[in-house]
Amino acid sequence: MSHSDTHSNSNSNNHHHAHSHSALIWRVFAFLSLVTVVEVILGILKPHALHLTNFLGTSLLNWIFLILTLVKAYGIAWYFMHLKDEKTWLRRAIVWTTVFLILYLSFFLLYEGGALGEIAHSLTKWQ
Amino acid sequence: MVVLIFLGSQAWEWKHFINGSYGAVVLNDGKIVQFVDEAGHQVTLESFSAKTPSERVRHTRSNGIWFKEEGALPPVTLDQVMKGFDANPNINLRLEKIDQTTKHKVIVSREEAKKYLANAKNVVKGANLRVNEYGKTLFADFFFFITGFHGFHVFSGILINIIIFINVILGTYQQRGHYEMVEKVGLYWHFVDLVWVFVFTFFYLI
Repeated sequence: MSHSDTHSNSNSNNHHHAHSHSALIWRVFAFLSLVTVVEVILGILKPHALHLTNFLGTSLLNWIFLILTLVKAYGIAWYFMHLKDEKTWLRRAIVWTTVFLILYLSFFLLYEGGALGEIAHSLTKWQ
Repeated sequence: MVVLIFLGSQAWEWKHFINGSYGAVVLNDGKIVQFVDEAGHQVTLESFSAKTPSERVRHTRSNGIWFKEEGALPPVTLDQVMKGFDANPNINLRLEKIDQTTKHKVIVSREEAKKYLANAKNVVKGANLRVNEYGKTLFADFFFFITGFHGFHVFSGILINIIIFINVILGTYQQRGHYEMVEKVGLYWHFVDLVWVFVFTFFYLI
Protein backbone atom coordinates (compact mmCIF):
# COMPACT_ATOMS: atom_id res chain seq x y z
CA MET A 1 0.00 0.00 0.00
CA SER A 2 2.38 2.66 -1.22
CA HIS A 3 -0.25 5.36 -1.31
CA SER A 4 -0.98 5.19 2.40
CA ASP A 5 2.59 6.18 3.19
CA THR A 6 2.43 9.20 0.93
CA HIS A 7 -0.98 9.97 2.35
CA SER A 8 0.19 10.03 5.95
CA ASN A 9 3.25 12.06 4.92
CA SER A 10 1.14 14.64 3.20
CA ASN A 11 -1.09 14.66 6.27
CA SER A 12 1.70 15.78 8.54
CA ASN A 13 3.71 17.89 6.09
CA ASN A 14 1.09 19.61 4.05
CA HIS A 15 -2.11 20.39 5.88
CA HIS A 16 -3.65 22.16 2.93
CA HIS A 17 -3.52 19.00 0.80
CA ALA A 18 -5.26 16.95 3.51
CA HIS A 19 -8.02 19.53 3.66
CA SER A 20 -8.71 19.36 -0.07
CA HIS A 21 -8.75 15.56 0.14
CA SER A 22 -11.50 15.55 2.75
CA ALA A 23 -13.40 18.14 0.70
CA LEU A 24 -13.21 15.73 -2.26
CA ILE A 25 -14.59 12.90 -0.11
CA TRP A 26 -17.56 15.06 0.90
CA ARG A 27 -18.18 15.98 -2.73
CA VAL A 28 -18.18 12.30 -3.74
CA PHE A 29 -20.51 11.56 -0.79
CA ALA A 30 -22.92 14.27 -1.97
CA PHE A 31 -22.81 12.95 -5.54
CA LEU A 32 -23.45 9.33 -4.49
CA SER A 33 -26.33 10.45 -2.24
CA LEU A 34 -27.85 12.41 -5.12
CA VAL A 35 -27.66 9.39 -7.45
CA THR A 36 -29.30 7.21 -4.78
CA VAL A 37 -32.11 9.75 -4.26
CA VAL A 38 -32.75 9.79 -8.03
CA GLU A 39 -32.84 5.97 -8.05
CA VAL A 40 -35.30 5.80 -5.14
CA ILE A 41 -37.58 8.44 -6.74
CA LEU A 42 -37.55 6.53 -10.06
CA GLY A 43 -38.24 3.30 -8.16
CA ILE A 44 -41.27 4.79 -6.39
CA LEU A 45 -42.73 6.58 -9.43
CA LYS A 46 -41.91 3.86 -11.99
CA PRO A 47 -42.73 6.16 -14.93
CA HIS A 48 -44.65 4.20 -17.60
CA ALA A 49 -42.46 5.65 -20.35
CA LEU A 50 -39.47 3.86 -18.79
CA HIS A 51 -41.06 0.91 -16.98
CA LEU A 52 -43.36 -0.38 -19.75
CA THR A 53 -40.58 -0.77 -22.27
CA ASN A 54 -38.34 -3.60 -23.34
CA PHE A 55 -34.76 -3.09 -24.43
CA LEU A 56 -32.24 -5.96 -24.62
CA GLY A 57 -34.31 -8.21 -22.39
CA THR A 58 -35.40 -5.78 -19.69
CA SER A 59 -37.05 -2.38 -19.25
CA LEU A 60 -35.26 0.93 -19.79
CA LEU A 61 -35.92 1.68 -16.10
CA ASN A 62 -33.85 -1.37 -15.12
CA TRP A 63 -31.09 -0.30 -17.51
CA ILE A 64 -31.00 3.11 -15.83
CA PHE A 65 -30.75 1.41 -12.41
CA LEU A 66 -27.90 -0.81 -13.65
CA ILE A 67 -25.95 2.08 -15.16
CA LEU A 68 -26.42 4.33 -12.11
CA THR A 69 -25.26 1.41 -9.94
CA LEU A 70 -22.06 1.09 -11.96
CA VAL A 71 -21.56 4.88 -11.65
CA LYS A 72 -21.88 4.58 -7.87
CA ALA A 73 -19.54 1.56 -7.79
CA TYR A 74 -16.98 3.63 -9.71
CA GLY A 75 -17.31 6.50 -7.19
CA ILE A 76 -16.79 4.20 -4.21
CA ALA A 77 -13.90 2.22 -5.70
CA TRP A 78 -12.09 5.27 -7.16
CA TYR A 79 -12.35 7.74 -4.29
CA PHE A 80 -13.36 5.87 -1.10
CA MET A 81 -11.18 2.84 -1.80
CA HIS A 82 -8.40 5.07 -3.23
CA LEU A 83 -8.06 3.23 -6.54
CA LYS A 84 -7.44 6.67 -8.07
CA ASP A 85 -4.15 6.96 -6.16
CA GLU A 86 -2.87 3.49 -7.07
CA LYS A 87 -0.21 2.77 -9.69
CA THR A 88 -1.68 2.42 -13.19
CA TRP A 89 -1.02 -1.29 -13.63
CA LEU A 90 -2.25 -2.33 -10.17
CA ARG A 91 -5.43 -0.41 -10.94
CA ARG A 92 -5.78 -2.15 -14.31
CA ALA A 93 -5.17 -5.56 -12.73
CA ILE A 94 -8.01 -4.93 -10.29
CA VAL A 95 -10.48 -3.29 -12.68
CA TRP A 96 -10.02 -5.51 -15.74
CA THR A 97 -10.28 -8.68 -13.62
CA THR A 98 -13.47 -7.45 -11.99
CA VAL A 99 -15.04 -6.37 -15.29
CA PHE A 100 -14.22 -9.77 -16.79
CA LEU A 101 -15.70 -11.54 -13.75
CA ILE A 102 -18.90 -9.49 -13.95
CA LEU A 103 -19.33 -10.24 -17.69
CA TYR A 104 -18.57 -13.93 -17.09
CA LEU A 105 -21.06 -14.19 -14.23
CA SER A 106 -23.78 -12.24 -16.08
CA PHE A 107 -23.41 -14.43 -19.16
CA PHE A 108 -23.71 -17.71 -17.26
CA LEU A 109 -26.51 -16.53 -14.97
CA LEU A 110 -28.57 -15.34 -17.96
CA TYR A 111 -27.72 -18.25 -20.26
CA GLU A 112 -28.00 -21.09 -17.74
CA GLY A 113 -30.90 -19.40 -15.94
CA GLY A 114 -32.75 -19.20 -19.26
CA ALA A 115 -32.07 -22.88 -19.98
CA LEU A 116 -33.22 -23.88 -16.50
CA GLY A 117 -36.37 -21.79 -16.99
CA GLU A 118 -37.15 -23.80 -20.15
CA ILE A 119 -36.50 -27.15 -18.46
CA ALA A 120 -38.61 -26.32 -15.40
CA HIS A 121 -41.34 -24.92 -17.65
CA SER A 122 -44.24 -26.40 -15.70
CA LEU A 123 -42.97 -24.89 -12.46
CA THR A 124 -41.95 -21.47 -13.72
CA LYS A 125 -44.59 -20.67 -16.37
CA TRP A 126 -48.30 -19.98 -15.99
CA GLN A 127 -50.62 -21.50 -18.58
CA MET B 1 -25.53 7.19 13.71
CA VAL B 2 -26.60 7.05 10.07
CA VAL B 3 -25.38 3.47 9.95
CA LEU B 4 -27.54 2.57 12.95
CA ILE B 5 -30.56 3.99 11.08
CA PHE B 6 -29.69 1.76 8.11
CA LEU B 7 -29.27 -1.31 10.32
CA GLY B 8 -32.58 -0.46 12.02
CA SER B 9 -34.30 -0.15 8.62
CA GLN B 10 -32.97 -3.56 7.68
CA ALA B 11 -34.26 -5.04 10.93
CA TRP B 12 -37.66 -3.43 10.24
CA GLU B 13 -37.69 -4.86 6.72
CA TRP B 14 -36.84 -8.36 8.00
CA LYS B 15 -39.52 -8.19 10.69
CA HIS B 16 -42.25 -7.31 8.18
CA PHE B 17 -41.04 -9.77 5.55
CA ILE B 18 -40.95 -12.61 8.09
CA ASN B 19 -44.28 -11.80 9.74
CA GLY B 20 -46.06 -11.07 6.46
CA SER B 21 -48.85 -8.67 5.66
CA TYR B 22 -51.82 -10.26 3.84
CA GLY B 23 -51.28 -14.00 3.71
CA ALA B 24 -51.62 -16.14 0.58
CA VAL B 25 -52.32 -19.68 -0.60
CA VAL B 26 -49.69 -22.06 -1.99
CA LEU B 27 -50.74 -24.38 -4.83
CA ASN B 28 -49.53 -27.96 -5.20
CA ASP B 29 -46.93 -26.93 -7.79
CA GLY B 30 -45.50 -24.28 -5.46
CA LYS B 31 -47.11 -21.24 -7.07
CA ILE B 32 -48.50 -18.49 -4.88
CA VAL B 33 -51.99 -17.01 -5.28
CA GLN B 34 -53.15 -13.88 -3.45
CA PHE B 35 -56.58 -12.36 -2.81
CA VAL B 36 -57.80 -8.93 -3.93
CA ASP B 37 -61.02 -6.90 -3.61
CA GLU B 38 -63.06 -5.46 -6.52
CA ALA B 39 -60.69 -2.49 -6.85
CA GLY B 40 -57.74 -4.88 -7.22
CA HIS B 41 -56.22 -4.06 -3.81
CA GLN B 42 -54.88 -6.99 -1.85
CA VAL B 43 -56.89 -8.08 1.20
CA THR B 44 -55.92 -10.12 4.24
CA LEU B 45 -57.04 -13.73 4.52
CA GLU B 46 -58.72 -12.96 7.85
CA SER B 47 -60.95 -10.30 6.25
CA PHE B 48 -62.97 -12.76 4.17
CA SER B 49 -62.30 -16.24 5.57
CA ALA B 50 -65.23 -18.18 6.97
CA LYS B 51 -65.40 -18.21 10.77
CA THR B 52 -65.95 -21.94 10.88
CA PRO B 53 -64.64 -23.67 13.98
CA SER B 54 -61.23 -25.29 13.63
CA GLU B 55 -59.91 -28.01 15.87
CA ARG B 56 -56.37 -27.40 14.72
CA VAL B 57 -54.26 -26.07 17.61
CA ARG B 58 -50.54 -25.43 17.71
CA HIS B 59 -48.67 -28.47 18.87
CA THR B 60 -46.39 -27.77 21.82
CA ARG B 61 -43.59 -29.72 23.48
CA SER B 62 -45.64 -30.40 26.59
CA ASN B 63 -48.46 -32.37 24.93
CA GLY B 64 -46.49 -34.52 22.50
CA ILE B 65 -44.99 -37.94 23.02
CA TRP B 66 -41.59 -37.05 21.58
CA PHE B 67 -41.30 -33.53 23.02
CA LYS B 68 -41.27 -31.96 19.59
CA GLU B 69 -43.02 -28.70 18.81
CA GLU B 70 -44.14 -27.05 15.59
CA GLY B 71 -43.86 -23.51 14.26
CA ALA B 72 -46.57 -20.86 14.38
CA LEU B 73 -49.80 -21.77 12.58
CA PRO B 74 -51.22 -19.42 9.91
CA PRO B 75 -54.07 -17.20 11.15
CA VAL B 76 -56.70 -19.20 9.22
CA THR B 77 -56.97 -22.71 7.84
CA LEU B 78 -57.14 -23.57 4.13
CA ASP B 79 -60.69 -24.80 4.63
CA GLN B 80 -61.75 -21.44 6.09
CA VAL B 81 -60.15 -19.58 3.16
CA MET B 82 -61.91 -21.80 0.58
CA LYS B 83 -65.32 -21.40 2.28
CA GLY B 84 -64.76 -17.66 2.65
CA PHE B 85 -63.83 -17.33 -1.03
CA ASP B 86 -66.99 -19.16 -2.10
CA ALA B 87 -69.15 -17.02 0.18
CA ASN B 88 -67.69 -13.64 -0.92
CA PRO B 89 -68.24 -13.02 -4.67
CA ASN B 90 -66.43 -9.66 -4.47
CA ILE B 91 -63.11 -11.35 -3.65
CA ASN B 92 -60.87 -12.21 -6.61
CA LEU B 93 -57.72 -14.23 -7.10
CA ARG B 94 -54.42 -12.72 -8.21
CA LEU B 95 -51.67 -14.85 -9.74
CA GLU B 96 -47.90 -14.38 -9.71
CA LYS B 97 -48.11 -14.23 -13.50
CA ILE B 98 -47.27 -10.77 -14.83
CA ASP B 99 -49.08 -9.17 -17.75
CA GLN B 100 -46.24 -8.01 -20.00
CA THR B 101 -48.07 -4.94 -21.32
CA THR B 102 -49.14 -3.44 -17.97
CA LYS B 103 -46.47 -5.21 -15.82
CA HIS B 104 -49.09 -5.91 -13.17
CA LYS B 105 -49.96 -9.30 -11.71
CA VAL B 106 -52.90 -10.94 -13.48
CA ILE B 107 -56.28 -11.11 -11.68
CA VAL B 108 -58.36 -14.04 -12.96
CA SER B 109 -62.12 -14.59 -13.16
CA ARG B 110 -63.96 -16.33 -10.31
CA GLU B 111 -64.44 -19.47 -12.41
CA GLU B 112 -60.75 -19.69 -13.25
CA ALA B 113 -59.89 -18.89 -9.63
CA LYS B 114 -61.82 -21.96 -8.46
CA LYS B 115 -59.81 -24.15 -10.81
CA TYR B 116 -56.60 -22.85 -9.28
CA LEU B 117 -57.91 -23.18 -5.73
CA ALA B 118 -58.84 -26.82 -6.40
CA ASN B 119 -55.06 -27.39 -6.37
CA ALA B 120 -54.46 -25.44 -3.16
CA LYS B 121 -51.97 -27.00 -0.76
CA ASN B 122 -51.83 -24.73 2.27
CA VAL B 123 -52.06 -21.24 3.70
CA VAL B 124 -48.94 -19.13 4.14
CA LYS B 125 -48.40 -15.93 6.13
CA GLY B 126 -45.05 -14.18 5.94
CA ALA B 127 -41.81 -15.56 4.61
CA ASN B 128 -38.87 -17.74 5.61
CA LEU B 129 -36.48 -20.07 3.82
CA ARG B 130 -39.25 -22.54 2.96
CA VAL B 131 -42.30 -20.41 2.13
CA ASN B 132 -42.94 -16.86 0.90
CA GLU B 133 -46.41 -15.30 0.73
CA TYR B 134 -45.15 -12.62 -1.70
CA GLY B 135 -43.93 -14.96 -4.45
CA LYS B 136 -41.09 -17.35 -5.18
CA THR B 137 -39.51 -19.10 -2.21
CA LEU B 138 -36.21 -18.81 -4.05
CA PHE B 139 -36.45 -15.03 -3.78
CA ALA B 140 -36.88 -15.27 0.00
CA ASP B 141 -33.89 -17.64 0.13
CA PHE B 142 -31.67 -15.24 -1.79
CA PHE B 143 -32.99 -12.23 0.09
CA PHE B 144 -32.35 -13.64 3.57
CA PHE B 145 -29.01 -15.16 2.55
CA ILE B 146 -27.60 -12.02 0.94
CA THR B 147 -29.01 -9.36 3.28
CA GLY B 148 -28.23 -11.55 6.30
CA PHE B 149 -24.58 -11.90 5.41
CA HIS B 150 -24.37 -8.25 4.41
CA GLY B 151 -25.96 -7.19 7.71
CA PHE B 152 -23.43 -9.32 9.59
CA HIS B 153 -20.55 -7.64 7.72
CA VAL B 154 -21.96 -4.17 8.42
CA PHE B 155 -22.32 -5.07 12.10
CA SER B 156 -18.74 -6.29 12.40
CA GLY B 157 -17.63 -3.24 10.38
CA ILE B 158 -19.26 -0.97 12.95
CA LEU B 159 -17.44 -2.78 15.77
CA ILE B 160 -14.08 -2.48 13.98
CA ASN B 161 -14.73 1.20 13.22
CA ILE B 162 -15.48 1.83 16.91
CA ILE B 163 -12.20 0.13 17.84
CA ILE B 164 -10.34 2.34 15.33
CA PHE B 165 -12.10 5.42 16.72
CA ILE B 166 -11.03 4.57 20.28
CA ASN B 167 -7.47 3.87 19.12
CA VAL B 168 -7.31 7.22 17.32
CA ILE B 169 -8.47 9.03 20.48
CA LEU B 170 -5.91 7.13 22.57
CA GLY B 171 -3.20 8.11 20.07
CA THR B 172 -2.28 4.50 19.26
CA TYR B 173 -1.48 5.27 15.63
CA GLN B 174 0.34 8.49 16.54
CA GLN B 175 2.71 6.42 18.68
CA ARG B 176 2.95 3.70 16.04
CA GLY B 177 4.06 6.28 13.49
CA HIS B 178 1.65 5.25 10.73
CA TYR B 179 -2.07 4.94 10.09
CA GLU B 180 -1.98 1.69 8.04
CA MET B 181 -4.67 0.09 10.18
CA VAL B 182 -7.07 2.98 9.55
CA GLU B 183 -6.52 2.51 5.81
CA LYS B 184 -7.15 -1.23 6.00
CA VAL B 185 -10.34 -0.87 8.01
CA GLY B 186 -11.42 1.92 5.64
CA LEU B 187 -10.88 -0.45 2.73
CA TYR B 188 -12.96 -3.15 4.44
CA TRP B 189 -15.73 -0.71 5.30
CA HIS B 190 -15.96 0.67 1.76
CA PHE B 191 -15.87 -2.81 0.27
CA VAL B 192 -18.98 -3.65 2.32
CA ASP B 193 -20.37 -0.32 1.08
CA LEU B 194 -19.67 -1.39 -2.52
CA VAL B 195 -21.50 -4.66 -1.92
CA TRP B 196 -24.53 -2.75 -0.61
CA VAL B 197 -24.70 -0.68 -3.82
CA PHE B 198 -25.26 -3.93 -5.75
CA VAL B 199 -27.55 -5.53 -3.14
CA PHE B 200 -29.71 -2.39 -3.21
CA THR B 201 -30.00 -2.48 -7.00
CA PHE B 202 -30.74 -6.16 -7.41
CA PHE B 203 -33.03 -6.71 -4.42
CA TYR B 204 -34.83 -3.41 -4.05
CA LEU B 205 -34.79 -1.53 -7.37
CA ILE B 206 -35.02 -4.11 -10.14
